Amino acid sequence: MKSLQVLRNELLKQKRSFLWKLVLFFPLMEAALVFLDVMIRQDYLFGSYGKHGVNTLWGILIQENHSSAMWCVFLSMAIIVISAVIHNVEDTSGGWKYSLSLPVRRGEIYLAKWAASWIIGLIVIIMNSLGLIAAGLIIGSKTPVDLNLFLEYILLQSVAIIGIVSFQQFLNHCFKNVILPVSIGIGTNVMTLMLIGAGLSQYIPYAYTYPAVPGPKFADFPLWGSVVFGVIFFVLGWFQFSRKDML
Amino acid sequence: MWKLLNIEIRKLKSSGMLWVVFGIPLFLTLQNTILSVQFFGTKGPSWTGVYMGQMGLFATFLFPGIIAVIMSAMMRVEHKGNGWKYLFSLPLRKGQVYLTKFLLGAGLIFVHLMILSLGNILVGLIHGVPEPVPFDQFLLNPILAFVLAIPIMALQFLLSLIFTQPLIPIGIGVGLGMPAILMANSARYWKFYPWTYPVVTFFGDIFRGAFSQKFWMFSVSGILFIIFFVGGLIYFKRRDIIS
Repeated sequence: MKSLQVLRNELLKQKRSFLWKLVLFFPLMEAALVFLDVMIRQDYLFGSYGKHGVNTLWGILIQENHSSAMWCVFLSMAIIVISAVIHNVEDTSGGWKYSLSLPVRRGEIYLAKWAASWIIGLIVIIMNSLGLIAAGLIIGSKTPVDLNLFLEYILLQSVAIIGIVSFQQFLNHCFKNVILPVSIGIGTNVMTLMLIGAGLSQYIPYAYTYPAVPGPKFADFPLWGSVVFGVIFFVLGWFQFSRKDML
Repeated sequence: MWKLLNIEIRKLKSSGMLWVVFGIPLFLTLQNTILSVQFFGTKGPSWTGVYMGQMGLFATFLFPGIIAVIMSAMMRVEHKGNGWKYLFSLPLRKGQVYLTKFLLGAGLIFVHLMILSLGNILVGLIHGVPEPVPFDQFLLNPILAFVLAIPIMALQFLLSLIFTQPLIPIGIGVGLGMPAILMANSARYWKFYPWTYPVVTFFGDIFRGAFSQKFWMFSVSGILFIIFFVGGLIYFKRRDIIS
């Protein structure tokens, strides 16, 4: 119960934050781009994706969003920024001394920050899917909205970001300057793309957003790796946070 | 001016930002040395393989992020602990401070880019590419891309000044880079989104015959630079920066 209260506090800290504008801006802008892309190239895309068994507008929207518009990379970047904002709210206002003076264990604060990052990440994912549904409705699909397909897409992505959230939170606690973990995150995220051809990308947490899509994938490896990364870096970060002098 | 530049460099030294400027391109070079093999065709090592393997990803994803991060770091130094009031207690003009910070930020981005470009040449030499080094592709294209990215730098610099929270301009910068990926793939619309200019210029005439649109790209970039830079300078001079 206390953990839930701490989580609520974490979300409250972001109440008037610019973060919420970014949370809307990122996924809806991506959906708007996919809308333009699919609307202009509809005939070509139906022919092209049809060869891979994707025959509905909903499937094409998801595929274009994930691969051509590179949502798989931008989702990781969004998580990197979200995680840093959640962490940095204490740094900017010297809030650690207030948070740590509350009658809660450090572990609960760490868990609440992790959960807040994941929940806001999930909102980003859901907003993106809602944007894609809106795009499909405007373009005009012959088939009704494939809710199961979108639910699967949301579920896969929500698992894929577990490792990224843990790794970024771990990095955020390693550096005093919040820009450094963000730089490392963005840099490594892009480098991960280069590792796909060498078959090494599954050893990096950021890569798990690539296979998090129903249907054809440009990189395919099991998503449970994200959970493994999530647990490892969560435990490492928790351990480090418990011992570190934050004040 | 030089003294001020020197002071700004000293401030950055303790922020760890120099690791971003030097560390990331060195790491990318190391990675390209190991992984560029996958981009070589059956004919063996080639300069195109070395360049495209690295710059394809750098241009589209990393470059806008690096600009946002470095420009944000330039302002974070002052936002943190309200360093502005100490800075303006010195006998300095606001315009001088604005220009120096911008030049240093742009200079660091240029250094970052040059280390990466020279690193790419080194990767080709290590792999023993038989042809002579195509300096146009490896040095000129990145320099032109840098010039065309200057208005983006000016915008990021302004955003970093407006928002005291350093992650907001980074988030916006990454977000504005997103459409460039799809737009750069459009034969008709790419020139209407200035964020695509550095991307297509990195590839030169391989991509969209970018150099045939040089006049358009430089004109749009020049106008945008004036708007963002002068607008930012006026904002900086008028705003009561000391809270």
